Amino acid sequence: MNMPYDAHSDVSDDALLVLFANGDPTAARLLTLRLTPRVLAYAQRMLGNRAEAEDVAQEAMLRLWRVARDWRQDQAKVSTWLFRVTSNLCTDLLRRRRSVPLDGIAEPEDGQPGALAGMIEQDRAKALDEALKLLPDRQRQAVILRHLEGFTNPEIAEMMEIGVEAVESLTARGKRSLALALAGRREELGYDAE
Amino acid sequence: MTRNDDPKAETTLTPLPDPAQRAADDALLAAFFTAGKQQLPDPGEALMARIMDAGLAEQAAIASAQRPYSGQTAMAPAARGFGSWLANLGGWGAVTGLATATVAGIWLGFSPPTGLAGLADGVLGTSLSGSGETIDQVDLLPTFESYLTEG
Repeated sequence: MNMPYDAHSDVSDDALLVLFANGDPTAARLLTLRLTPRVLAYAQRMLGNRAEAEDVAQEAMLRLWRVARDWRQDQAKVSTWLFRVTSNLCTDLLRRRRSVPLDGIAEPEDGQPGALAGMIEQDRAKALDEALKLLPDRQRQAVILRHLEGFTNPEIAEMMEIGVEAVESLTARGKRSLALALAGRREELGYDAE
Repeated sequence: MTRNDDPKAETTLTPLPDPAQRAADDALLAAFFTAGKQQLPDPGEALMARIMDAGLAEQAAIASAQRPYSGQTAMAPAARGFGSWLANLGGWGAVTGLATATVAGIWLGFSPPTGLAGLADGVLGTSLSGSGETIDQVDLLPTFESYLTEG
């Protein structure tokens, strides 16, 4: 079964959710195709664990299905609501872990970077993911939502239930730590060639 | 020491950078964020199928509940007038949603996304793969999109 993951971007998530509630099976498929990869990517970056991320993504999407019937378009954007649910699920899991020793966090691998441009892109993404793991949970959450998922600061503030200034502070501190972690890998990741 | 032991750690360990430092960090990280956006994990067919099946099951549950979509109870027999009709429908917000959904539905019917037909076969199991049989299909209502192009 081959599925296009970016399908029909000209129809909004909100409109699709209304169609879903009205029984349109196409809307169920389009929402799944559009939202699942994003939610999965976010959960995987937050948790650093594929199996847990799949569980979170599935649970978040199930909650979206259940809320569809009572969805009101004036209450929130679907993506904002969904990422808030996903954030809460991830936070619960992280709290349940309670004590993950810092020594247990994987250090960036010292493997040889690929010579091809595509490999360099993959290596950069991988280096970023590894550096993200080193951040405190809420800094990581704010940085991912802002710079990888493209939400605005007010949207992130709503998801994280904090003020906009706190979001700006978290992202600025998070990016400072990321920059420190990644600065030493610029040559390795092909920056000198640009 | 653990990541979650000290809730204040995330605000005390890293000093708040000044604007110049923030700009430098943004410049350094831009290519990393660009690469990160392009590297979405493959959800895999099994996860997608589970989520889609759950969605279809939820739609069936909604349909079997036989309640009008709007979060409101059914219209009372004594209700009269446009105001009552609007209130029973769920107010202007619901009307806006229904109008948006109508337009979106018309467009989806008019121009279904590429690959959707194959996806429906996969989910609903309507294909005859493995049986050695094929179904001859005649498109009685060909796409209208070609009529939109001029020339």
